[in-house]
Amino acid sequence: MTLALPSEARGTVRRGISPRTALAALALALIVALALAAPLIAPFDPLDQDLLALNMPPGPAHWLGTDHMGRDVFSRLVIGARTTLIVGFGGALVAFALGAGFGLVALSFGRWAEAAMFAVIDLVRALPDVLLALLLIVALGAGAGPVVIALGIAFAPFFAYVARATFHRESVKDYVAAARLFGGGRLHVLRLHLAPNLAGGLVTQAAILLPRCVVTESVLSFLGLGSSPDAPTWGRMVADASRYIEVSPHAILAPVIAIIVLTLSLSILGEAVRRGLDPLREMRGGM
Amino acid sequence: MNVQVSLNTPAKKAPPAPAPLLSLRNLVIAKAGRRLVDGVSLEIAAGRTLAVIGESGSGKSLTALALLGLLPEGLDIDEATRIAVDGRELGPRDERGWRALRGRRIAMVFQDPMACLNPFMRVGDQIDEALRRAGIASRTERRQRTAERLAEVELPAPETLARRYPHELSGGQQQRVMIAMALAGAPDLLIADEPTSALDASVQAEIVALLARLQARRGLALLIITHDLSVAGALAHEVAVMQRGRVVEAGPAAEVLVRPRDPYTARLVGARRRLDEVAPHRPDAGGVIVEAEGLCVDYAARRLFGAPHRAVHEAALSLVPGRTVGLLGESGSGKSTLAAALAGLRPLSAGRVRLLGHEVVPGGRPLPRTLRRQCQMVFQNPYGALNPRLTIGWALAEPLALMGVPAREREARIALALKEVGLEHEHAARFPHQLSGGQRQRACIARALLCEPRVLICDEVISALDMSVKVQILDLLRRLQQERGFAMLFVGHDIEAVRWIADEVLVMNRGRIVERCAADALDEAHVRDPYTQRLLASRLLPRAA
Repeated sequence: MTLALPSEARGTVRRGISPRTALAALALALIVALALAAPLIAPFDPLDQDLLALNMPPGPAHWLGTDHMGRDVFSRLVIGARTTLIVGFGGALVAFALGAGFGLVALSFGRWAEAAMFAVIDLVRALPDVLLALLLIVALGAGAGPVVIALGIAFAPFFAYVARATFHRESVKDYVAAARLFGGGRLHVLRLHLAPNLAGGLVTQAAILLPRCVVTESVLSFLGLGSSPDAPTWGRMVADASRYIEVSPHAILAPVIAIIVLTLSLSILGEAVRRGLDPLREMRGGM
Repeated sequence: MNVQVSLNTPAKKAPPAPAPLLSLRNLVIAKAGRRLVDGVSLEIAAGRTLAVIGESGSGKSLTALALLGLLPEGLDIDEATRIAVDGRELGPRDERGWRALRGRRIAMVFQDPMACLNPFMRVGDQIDEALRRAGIASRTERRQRTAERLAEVELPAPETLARRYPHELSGGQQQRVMIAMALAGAPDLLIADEPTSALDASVQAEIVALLARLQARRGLALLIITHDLSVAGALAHEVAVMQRGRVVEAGPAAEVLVRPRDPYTARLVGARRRLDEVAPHRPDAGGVIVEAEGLCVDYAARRLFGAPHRAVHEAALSLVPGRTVGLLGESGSGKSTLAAALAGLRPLSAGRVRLLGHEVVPGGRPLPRTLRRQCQMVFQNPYGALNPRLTIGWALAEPLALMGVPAREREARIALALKEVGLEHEHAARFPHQLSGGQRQRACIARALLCEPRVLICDEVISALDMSVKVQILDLLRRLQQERGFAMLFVGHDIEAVRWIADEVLVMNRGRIVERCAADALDEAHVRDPYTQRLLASRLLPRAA
């Protein structure tokens, strides 16, 4: 035995999956599959404008109709899923790595380092996240990569706060007092007692932030600073179609429903993972 | 085994005895096929007291809830169950029928008054609400009755007190308010579920005395649910002892609590008696290894520029290898703060501690790690002292890893430590929540012992445990001390337990040590301090039949 994370402590004992979780996993798998197979299944080029068929309702030619510029909504939806997922997952992942990493470093160097480093995080958090992302994109240039980095930096503080709150919640526990009596320092407490307790909170935070990244990207697209000047994303589709909501409601409904399904299934899956990591779940009632 | 509790069951040709106030027959409560309460029958006659005694998980609280029709959803009640009030039968889920009785015929007092009182309402308004529910429409009458009730539960200055919020009252006063609320509808039966378990010993005695006086004055029937034999002995005419959902023994209190027939009851009674034995006095061999002088501990002020709160005033004590000092005090007396300061978990504000040759002073160097390890602490709540995400084996590996014991040696040492505290090797693979309270506390003791401590500080280590488990843990600590010869500081609020395990007893009150005496001299005849006298006098004595 060493003092790394014990496998039993991860508590990944399977105990059956609820229908809700299964449905969420299925929905997410479907979205990912559609995004991967998009070039094969998209019937039209998502950028092709058919000026003779503007604002067409769903029908046999255009399965989900066309938008105000005569572009096929279904094709845009599945092609757009790719950039949307990259920005969503990428943004959340970068935020996770930056926030949790910065937070843990801040926590491991004692009280003063913690106060100083978290002051920086507070500063980042003080700016509205869209404004911050805008500033960063202006500095980094447009495109999917800069958007992912900008969203990652804008949302990193959330993960740092989760790490800090968990640390302070745990550090008043008797088992941390006992660890101090065994001669353990701050680093030891972080590694043995904080790390396993942190996983659940971070996963939940990631599941919340992923859809937020998708939505924020759409705001950036709306402002013309999104991941792609012309390639579609779901957010951009919502922004484009919102002006024509009265004549072609289907053009906005399709991406909105897609975002809702993605968000819901991610939250449900995040919750299921958090519960799976909780060793006390048997006592707190099933999933 | 279904034992009738009331002795005056109507015989066929005898003059018709009055129907019992409440009778419960063959109560079976199951959850998912598992029987939590299994065939319990009880009877309570008007003006009598029945105590239902049981340890955690015995089903005693579920039984009480069933008697108010308050069982939570998701529990199955067997169809053969019969509950009758005044001879009139009621279905266990007959909400309308029960609502008519609750508060007026039957009222309940719960364990934790702070959780039952609405924190946003003045206590007077809460009693007022109970009176309105009981059907008193006139506002002036309600106000007058509120004052009467508060006076009846012997609270000083009822008018002022009625305007206070629950958090402004002490635990004992809160419980009195709860009793006043329960009495609002002039019930005939008062069900009290562990009414004194959350309270200090001296307050507990006052509440028990109050309940006895209320019963005499109002002719109340009382049903006391408790794990504490002394509470049961002080109040009950009849007792029923529950174990694993069944009544294992029932009868007059004077009979059952003195000459128990059932082996489980005998074990419970024996555990309590065990603590009355006077332990052999151990000689003071000298060689002080911990010495505190003028030790003060402050808590930082709540407000900016506020004065800090001094929790411990100029405490002095010394610990000797192989001997135990008992630190006795009620909640808020500063005893746990003193223990934490000795262990180096809390900075000193004044004074000094000499620990294993190293001197700790305020603002000075903290204890070096190797010495810190030799002074170990066992905490009150074993559940909080074990990380819920680590198995017992991992928890025990923690001190070994920090001491630099090579990984291949750890397993053997953990197995040895588990055996030493009476646990099996298989417990190492379990998570804390998969063990019982007593097993968890054993695991904590095993973990502390792996550091080879020369000083062991036990902070209320038995207060979260059932009676029979308490005695086992006390036995274990004493045996380990004999084998290993560490010095021990035993912090507690239970006079019998502290006296049993300690050689010397210190009594703390409001941050000061007010009494120090040999453990066998801790009785009314020897102690001088008035507070200690009061504490000793608050022990519960069996009810005169």
